[in-house]
Amino acid sequence: MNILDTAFAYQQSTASATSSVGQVVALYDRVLRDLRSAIAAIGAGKLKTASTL
Amino acid sequence: MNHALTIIGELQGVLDFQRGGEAARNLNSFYTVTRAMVTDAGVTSSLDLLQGLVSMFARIRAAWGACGADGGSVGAYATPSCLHPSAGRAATEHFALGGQLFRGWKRRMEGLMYEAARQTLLSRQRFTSRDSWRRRVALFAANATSVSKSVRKIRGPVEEMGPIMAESTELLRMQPELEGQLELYKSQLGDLQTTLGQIRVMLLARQASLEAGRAQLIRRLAVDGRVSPDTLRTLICCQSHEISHSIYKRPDLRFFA
Repeated sequence: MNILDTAFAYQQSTASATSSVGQVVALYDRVLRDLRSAIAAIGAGKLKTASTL
Repeated sequence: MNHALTIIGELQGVLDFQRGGEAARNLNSFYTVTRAMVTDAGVTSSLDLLQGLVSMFARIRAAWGACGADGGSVGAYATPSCLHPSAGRAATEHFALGGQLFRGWKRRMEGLMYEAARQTLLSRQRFTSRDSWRRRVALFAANATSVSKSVRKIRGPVEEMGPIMAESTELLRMQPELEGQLELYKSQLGDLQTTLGQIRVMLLARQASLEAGRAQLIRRLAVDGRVSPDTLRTLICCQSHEISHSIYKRPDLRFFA
């Protein structure tokens, strides 16, 4: 098992153990992170990076 | 932004309208609008739009956070009205934002379409001898039901005009008297591209709405037992009572990184 597999296994086990509301909150956090990254990428002129985030 | 769209689609697909009631409908509207806005931001690279989205998601996230703090342990599709009664009332008020956004967005889209029609009509008054495609644009703006047919009609003239514009410098050198006509072409091309951009956003919003409807239909079919066991198993995999964990398995979505 490489590092990525371990990380995914950890993510899955964390997701399973989290309450349903916690999962929704985690998804919202991820959306917020993606949007903020897109803002940063557009600010830096990296339009392609912004759309693939 | 692609990741954000995927996640919003997942959140929208697992809404339960029967248990969620008005809050679920508001959330559905919120997701439809925000998906259209994310797509719009992807096309226009608008920082204002993205910052607006961050603000909206942060507010709704805070509402969910308040629900979670009260120890609600229900399906991820559940909306606050299914949670602890005291949390439900407050959070439903928060989620009413979704309904407000949807109504605002609808007005904005109607405004855009009206503005497109108005601009087209104003242009027609200035250039009464223009080709019939401009009339078709105005007709499209007035009648959104013929969207795909109109898009095809508009795309034709735009594609025809592209090569002409590419050779415009050479044309001008050889025939300077064409300058006025070329300027007119440029203006028409700009109008058409703007209209096409608006149509694209509208189509993407409609697509998002259809996808959400499809997800709901699949789930209802599964609940009613009107599908074969094999199909049901597949459906349960993609539309279970909890947020499907498959989304967490995607290597490109690093939730806990």
